Amino acid sequence: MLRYIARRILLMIPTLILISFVTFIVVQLPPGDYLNAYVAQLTAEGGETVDRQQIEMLRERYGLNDPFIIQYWKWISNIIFEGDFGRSFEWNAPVSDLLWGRIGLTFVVSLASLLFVYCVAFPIGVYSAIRKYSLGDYVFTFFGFLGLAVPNFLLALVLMVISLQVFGVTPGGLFSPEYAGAPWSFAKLMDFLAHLWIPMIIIGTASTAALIRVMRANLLDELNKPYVETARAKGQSEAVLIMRYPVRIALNPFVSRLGWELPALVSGAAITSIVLNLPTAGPILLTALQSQDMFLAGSFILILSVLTVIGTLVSDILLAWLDPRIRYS
Amino acid sequence: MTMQHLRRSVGTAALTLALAGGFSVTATADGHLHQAPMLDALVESGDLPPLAERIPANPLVIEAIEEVGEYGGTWRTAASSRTDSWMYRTINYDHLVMWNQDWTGVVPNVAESVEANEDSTVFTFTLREGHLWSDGTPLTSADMVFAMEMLRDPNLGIPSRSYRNAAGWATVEALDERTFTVTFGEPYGTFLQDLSRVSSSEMGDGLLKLPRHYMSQFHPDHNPDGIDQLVAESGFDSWVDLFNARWSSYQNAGKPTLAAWVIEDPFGEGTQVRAVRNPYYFKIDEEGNQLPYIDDVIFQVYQDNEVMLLQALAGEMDFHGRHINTVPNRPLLADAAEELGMEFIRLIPSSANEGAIYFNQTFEDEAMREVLASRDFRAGLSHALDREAICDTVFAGAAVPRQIAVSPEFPPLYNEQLANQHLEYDVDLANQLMDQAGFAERDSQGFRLRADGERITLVVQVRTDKQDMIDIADLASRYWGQVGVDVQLDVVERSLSDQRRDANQHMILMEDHSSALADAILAAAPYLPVDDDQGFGIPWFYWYAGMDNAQEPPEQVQRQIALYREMGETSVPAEQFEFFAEILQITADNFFALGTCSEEIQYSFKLDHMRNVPDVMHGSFAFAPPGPYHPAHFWIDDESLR
Repeated sequence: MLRYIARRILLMIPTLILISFVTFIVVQLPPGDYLNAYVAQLTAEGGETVDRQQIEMLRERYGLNDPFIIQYWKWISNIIFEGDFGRSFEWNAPVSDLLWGRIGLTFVVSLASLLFVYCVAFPIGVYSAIRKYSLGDYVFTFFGFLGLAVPNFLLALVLMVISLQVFGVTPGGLFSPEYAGAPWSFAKLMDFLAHLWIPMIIIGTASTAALIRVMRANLLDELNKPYVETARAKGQSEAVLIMRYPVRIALNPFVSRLGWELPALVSGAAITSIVLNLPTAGPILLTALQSQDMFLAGSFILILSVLTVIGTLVSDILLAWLDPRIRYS
Repeated sequence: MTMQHLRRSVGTAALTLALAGGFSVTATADGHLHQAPMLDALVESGDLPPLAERIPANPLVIEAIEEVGEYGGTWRTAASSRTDSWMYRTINYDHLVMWNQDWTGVVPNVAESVEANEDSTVFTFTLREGHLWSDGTPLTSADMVFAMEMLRDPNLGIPSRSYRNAAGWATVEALDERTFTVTFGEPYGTFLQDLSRVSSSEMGDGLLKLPRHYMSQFHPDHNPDGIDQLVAESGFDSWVDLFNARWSSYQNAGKPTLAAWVIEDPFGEGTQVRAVRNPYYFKIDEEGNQLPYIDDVIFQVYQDNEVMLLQALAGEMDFHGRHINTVPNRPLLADAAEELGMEFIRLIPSSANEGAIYFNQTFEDEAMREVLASRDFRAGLSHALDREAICDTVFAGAAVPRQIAVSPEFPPLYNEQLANQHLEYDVDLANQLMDQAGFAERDSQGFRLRADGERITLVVQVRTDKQDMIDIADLASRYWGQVGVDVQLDVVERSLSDQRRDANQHMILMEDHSSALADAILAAAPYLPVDDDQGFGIPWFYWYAGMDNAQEPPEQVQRQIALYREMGETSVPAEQFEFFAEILQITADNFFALGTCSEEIQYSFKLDHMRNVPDVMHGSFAFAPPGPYHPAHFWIDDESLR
């Protein structure tokens, strides 16, 4: 088991190097650089004319004229050796100041959604498998497909309009105005939790639906296997039997999903976050990409990738622990 | 043209204004000044000096648009980004001078008075006695000298349009505590107008945005001993980054300001920006009440305009005039208006054109240039367009057919020929003009040919971010097809469009422009090549600016440029208008570009309880609405909200 974990961790290193490299290429891919976007933005509305000489000096100072590989090396070496993610042009602030708070909130929201997804999907999945083609199964399947089909952002908009029409309030944000700028306290935490459930449900809906289907299908495969019949013939109680054997095997995809559920939640959360006005990673990443704020965008993608890789590792370890066959192959 | 250079008139206006202010203070009902109730306790406890010590000896007295208001409440509005001009225009429009409300000229604001010299190279400003920053530090000429040094510092590269003209940066010299001069190397007749605009960075008036006692700690020349430690603590790599991060009012809570509200919750933390009353604000109403009336201003920050619209529809926006006040949204807002008690404000649009089509007179390919240079050909293309149909289709009736021109709502510069020539839809006339221009020959598919026998193919460059222009171009290309002209649309991303334009590679370029009211002379590029924001003669602009890749413009254009330079020597608007009217006549004769539609309807909206907001406003960005109407004297006429 230990060897297995060590090998997986070693494999992470080249993966991460590759990710950081590709990230940087992708962020740099569009024509022009941040200063083009900046000049366009300044001239867009105010008729601000920007000194070309000044722009050239800025380009020099930010090292935007350097060859790609040098820019990459400067960026990545500062991150590795000094923990310095560079500077956001757009925000005029160190990237680390912007990064951690938002990443933190993103993961709180994502993990809450994940928890919601598991808590809802697991019992429903098991129920619909055992009571296949019952009325309950049909009802859950119907809502499952509905949840799968409705885009998150649309659901968010619909919920917001309903909340406006029925309750007369606009939901959105993760904090009430009075707590938005306040330091963390118990009251702020409570306020946060009160706001959390809306994005949690919206972001989780599609995944819930998908997981219900997966759980149901897997369990159905197992339920007809001979060992189930045998155990049943030997008088094993139905509840213990199902929970102990077929469910445990059907659980595998549930766990292996963990790794890729995280990035899906984060990217799915981007659009929803914009609509719901959440101070999470998605919206700021989007604007950073639009304005070619490369260090900010690059750092966000890098951190999210690292967390995804770690998520995959955790899910692999969990799987190996759950299912001995994986450990030995 | 012979014209006397008169002494600038603002100085006189300032003098009368100063007298009125002094008079008003002593003439208040009980002969006293008053402050917001929330400040009384602070003064009592000694945390704040008494009002008389906080405001200038000669405060600016605001005549109310509707009535004297009452203190309290929150102005709820919204913003979309850190550099959202709506924030500059509402809570940060306190420049040395400002527009008057009918937009015919400039009046003093932070400055008590200003005077220009004979040829508009030296401007002498006087500050108000006892004027304090929002932290109680005196505002002096030394602040101005320091700020100018920072604006000029090439290391910093602070974006600022003001205090700079063709000859470079201005120099600022302090004459005494309250008086200073701003000197330019070349005449700059529109300096005070330019200073009254907001820009897309908050440095609309850069001299007032860099308080010396606060910003000097971040500059090694002024804080040689402490700078290294500050940089180290900040997480930035260099003092330059640190300095540039600290001048942004919207990111630094409590940065000293002269504005009516001070940022308390800055941009970036959470989803709102909140600004609270500045107890040192320099404006009072007619009864001696210190402004602002409203306690605080909250901008909800949205990335999505649809969600912002939802806030307005929920009745949670007291007054707003950007992002969502679009023509398509109007029915939606009108629907909710009665229930919410919402009123619409008419904005007078400044729209020289929403789809200006420029024919590159300096296009590289000679055979094609000949086509583009033919006035009859262009006139023919103009007559081939059914603009009524185009404007109705694209703008749902909110725009009217017009060439690129000054609006009839600004009589001093309105030119009937410029606005309306070649405007009527007449296919026969269009064909006749183009035949007459020498392009009567057609190929087998019915398309017109140029002199060398090749088909005329017009390539129209449009920007991806301007859907209206794309729609106009699309319709125009169909109308032109009907008169035998082949058109290709080249829809490109904005920065690429700009790059090609600057390299003079475009054949036909589409842009949109305001420049239809008093702002016409400030952003004159649609009318003559004094900037690169046009498409008919980029190398001519290079010639004007003395840059590389220049081409000498034809005589008529040189005449325009000469008039423009002469205009720069006077600071008197009436004289400037005379010069500019002559320039516009030449523009009309040249007809290098044709217009399509000009916006006619713009609006913004407010809730009934928001008072002292005018029913009709100038809407142009250059005018910075609602800034010139003194947002500090807006008030909330609803006890439950105060």
